[in-house]
Amino acid sequence: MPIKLILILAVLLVSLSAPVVLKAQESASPSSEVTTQNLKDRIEKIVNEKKEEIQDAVNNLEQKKRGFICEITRISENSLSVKNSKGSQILSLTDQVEFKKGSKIIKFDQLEVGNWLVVMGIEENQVFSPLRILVSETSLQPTPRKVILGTITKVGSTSVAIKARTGSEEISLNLDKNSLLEDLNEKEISLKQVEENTQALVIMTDNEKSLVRRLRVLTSGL
Amino acid sequence: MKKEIFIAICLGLLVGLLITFAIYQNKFKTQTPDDNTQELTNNPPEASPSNTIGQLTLLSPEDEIVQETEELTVAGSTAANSFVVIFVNEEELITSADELGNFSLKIKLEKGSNVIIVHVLNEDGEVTTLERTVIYSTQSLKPDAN
Repeated sequence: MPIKLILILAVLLVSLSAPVVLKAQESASPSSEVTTQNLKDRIEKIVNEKKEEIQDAVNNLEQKKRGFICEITRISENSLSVKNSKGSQILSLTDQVEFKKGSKIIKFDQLEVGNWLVVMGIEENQVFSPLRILVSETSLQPTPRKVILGTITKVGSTSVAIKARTGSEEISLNLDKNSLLEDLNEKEISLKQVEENTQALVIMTDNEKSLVRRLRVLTSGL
Repeated sequence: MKKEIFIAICLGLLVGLLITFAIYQNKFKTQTPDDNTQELTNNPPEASPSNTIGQLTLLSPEDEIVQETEELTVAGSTAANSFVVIFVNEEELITSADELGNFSLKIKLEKGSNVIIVHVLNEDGEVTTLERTVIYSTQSLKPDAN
């Protein structure tokens, strides 16, 4: 019986020694303890040194600068209803918001419906807070334009016709003194050098004038 | 006698294995959060769905950002060799995508608002468009900084 007990205890001891050995390998020797402590101290020192930078970075992550343009559609006591190409929204304003028209600081009551705004502020937790608003009496939206890739079918003295690759219809485009005509190498050319049945990339105003802003002939050898 | 020894060995091994497993499990748990953090910080930002429309993916710039530097890179991808026309307010810039469909162009911003509209035209002349607004301002937004 004692032999049995000794055997059982021996086996248990051997089995339990495996994790103990593992743990012992992990636990540091006195010299490695010192190294670890030194390393910890160095890391702590670096972290302390960089604490401010890290804090700033974290703040920047949480507080994101945001800016957009919009047109005033309605003015209320402490808010503005605005719209742009993405839709409409209401901007809640605080006393912190600064309004600037050109280089002058203006007051909230000087705003008018139809004014265009460059709204800059901070977005935190998906809540936008305007801080600076630049006011303009003219639209900040650029002239609507479109781009066509096609074949030139007709060249007149003040107009060209182009058949877009996307359709069979001929589109008549007007030219004025500001219309820029260029070859494949971006070199300016005259209207006389624009030939029928050549491929062209045209940037035109997207309105009733259909004015050519830029026409690039894509066929080389001009 | 042999049976008892065998049972003792099995029991011992089982207990030993359980303790070893517990130690490893504990070690694994303490390592996991660090590994994940590293993975997240190393991952490049992926294009969000709104950055992609049809054949056009716009990687830069982000929409409605306020930046303090004049230069900005407009970069993205589309069908190979497509024409890329970029409108920056009233200015027009023409470039083309490379054989892999990538394009990148450095532009100079105007002070204030910059409406950037990127058009890509494939071989069939089909146009895909994405718009971004970037505000260029060198002034701090903090009221006390003025």
